[in-house]
Amino acid sequence: MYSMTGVIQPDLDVDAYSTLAGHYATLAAQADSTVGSTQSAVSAVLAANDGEAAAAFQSTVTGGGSITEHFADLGPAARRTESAYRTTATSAATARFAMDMLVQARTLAYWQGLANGADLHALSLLVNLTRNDLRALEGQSVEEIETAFAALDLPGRFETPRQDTYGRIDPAIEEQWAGMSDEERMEVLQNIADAYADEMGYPRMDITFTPIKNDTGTTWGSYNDGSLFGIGSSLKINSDELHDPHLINTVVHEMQHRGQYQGMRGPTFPWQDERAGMTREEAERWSELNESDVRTKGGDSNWEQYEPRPIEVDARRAGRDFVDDLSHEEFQEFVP
Amino acid sequence: MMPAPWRRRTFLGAGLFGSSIPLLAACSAADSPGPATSPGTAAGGSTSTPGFTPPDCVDLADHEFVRGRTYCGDRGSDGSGDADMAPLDFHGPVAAAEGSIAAWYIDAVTEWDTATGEPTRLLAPKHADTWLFASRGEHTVVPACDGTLVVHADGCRVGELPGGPGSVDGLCFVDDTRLVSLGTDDVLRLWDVPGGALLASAEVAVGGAARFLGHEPTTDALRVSTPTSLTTFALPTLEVVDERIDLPTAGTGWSLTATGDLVGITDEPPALTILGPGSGAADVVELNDGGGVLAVSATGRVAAVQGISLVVRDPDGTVATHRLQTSTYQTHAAAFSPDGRLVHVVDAVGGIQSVDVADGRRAVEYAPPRA
Repeated sequence: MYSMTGVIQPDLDVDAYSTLAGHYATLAAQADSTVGSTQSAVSAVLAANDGEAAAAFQSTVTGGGSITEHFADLGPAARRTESAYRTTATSAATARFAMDMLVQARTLAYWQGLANGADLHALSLLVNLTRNDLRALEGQSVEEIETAFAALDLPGRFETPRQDTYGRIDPAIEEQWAGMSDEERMEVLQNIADAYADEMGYPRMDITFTPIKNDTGTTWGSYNDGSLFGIGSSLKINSDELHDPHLINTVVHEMQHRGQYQGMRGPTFPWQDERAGMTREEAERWSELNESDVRTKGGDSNWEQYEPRPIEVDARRAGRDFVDDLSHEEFQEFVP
Repeated sequence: MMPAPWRRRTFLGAGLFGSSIPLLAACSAADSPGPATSPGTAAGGSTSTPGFTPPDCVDLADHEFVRGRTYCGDRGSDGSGDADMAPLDFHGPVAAAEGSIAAWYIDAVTEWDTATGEPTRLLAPKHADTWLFASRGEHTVVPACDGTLVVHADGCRVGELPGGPGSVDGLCFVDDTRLVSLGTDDVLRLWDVPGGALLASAEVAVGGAARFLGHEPTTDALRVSTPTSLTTFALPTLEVVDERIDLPTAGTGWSLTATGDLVGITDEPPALTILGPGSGAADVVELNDGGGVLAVSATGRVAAVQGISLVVRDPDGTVATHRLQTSTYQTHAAAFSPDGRLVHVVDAVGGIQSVDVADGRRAVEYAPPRA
């Protein structure tokens, strides 16, 4: 009957919509939890502190334009999205069931009519009636789903503050860096790269200090894993940026890329469990996360693709955490 | 002080044609710190869209800011490997007026309130792969790919000036209505912006890959500099009135102060270098690194901004160095506020801040327009 009416039989993965709804429910719960944890932490700080600085702290962390406000908006938005997907799943399943039942009943009527000698005009009327009823069921479902998604009112993009992305370098390190020669800075960066590689368990490599041109941004450094098995790999640091102590972050960022690629090659021998700190399962997962279809997600422009790329998120985290944890005293270990 | 090893080649007269109100509007040069053109693909990225046609109007409420767009053709840049990089979200020049500043935010000239740090409106969209713009009074002018100068008022295209063959190396308002452009055809042009008329033009013999166009309001002197020379032109005739050559190499080019001093950030050794107008004697303030940006106030005060430091030199030779409350390493432009108390600093990654000249503290932090 579907083919006679020209109506396409619904082919919906209803379970997939339910799964998506579940993901958004998780996101909503996490966002709510984050808001609660942040507010508790701020309350604890305010209980022991007073004055302008404490008020400024509260305003920065929980006031207008803060990340807490963003999460407070995100939770309800995720819940609305969850609801929209649940509506989609329910409506689609209901519509499909109703349409299939209708088609079964009308198909039976059609063949019974044909067997009982009904004329072609009557049969044609039955097909037309069925087409209209199917389209009505389909249309009702589509309207329900569109209404559910029309009211999402999603929050805008939240720009992460620079220091939350790149870390907070100790001002004493900044001052020391400002007084160093470029040769000393290069030696410090190589020492950091070596120490990080040793700690993470993958091979050291020499840094190439060279100007790196980028017409649409600043490139502090880059890692290229080379060809198969890493032959020809390189870690470059932009020699035009040696004045910028952000390179301390960069060298860890790029060494993290080295670790990612070392690990993604997977354990070499069957009796090995891990490589560069990655299990076989983790290596496979990272390989999937670095497939070109994932690397190009995020938008049309190169910058929209670059920022959410999983290996970049991980490398930025590594650089930020290193800088945040590096004390002036610890920095001296890397100074020649 | 040291003897002057550089030379003055010609002197054709004082060439000081009256005076205009002090102006601190942006004078921009194609080789200001940071890339003059913004083509192609960034490291690790995909091909951007060539030949984008900008809208006639831009509005803060609904403009979609797009990073890395290409306007004049697909010219690539280094793009191998997985990089640590950041987009040029904020870019100079910076135009400072009473109560507001203007600079690039991603792909639109944006105006901010200096009292609140909040963006107030968009002045013009990007039309070409260049960061040049000039803004003063009602008008904001940005170059198009063919060298045409597109005139905007309150965010909307209201006219254009034919520019000249080739592209543009520098743009500078000299008062509320007159604009000077420096073309790659080595011609200086003086425009009446509201009337769309060319008032004067003159060939310039100042060559080289890096040229800086500027205007000193107190003496109404127009300058074109390179890292090793400075030529001064009279307004409105555009006659050459002074030329200094064989100057120490300054990556910032050379600027003029109200008292006739030449200032630049020289490379070897890194220093804020001030050359006196008469004897040519030099005052040198050592800096940690080369690079950085320079600002000159209407009263002759000079500021060099670099990394953790703000160096301020007053016309009487007094020098003060302050630790910046917020360091700036990707600095693209700086300009004094009209009262000379603040320096507005544009950092491509860190954003825009106004720094108190008295102590280096951040007085205003400017918010990016909301996405």
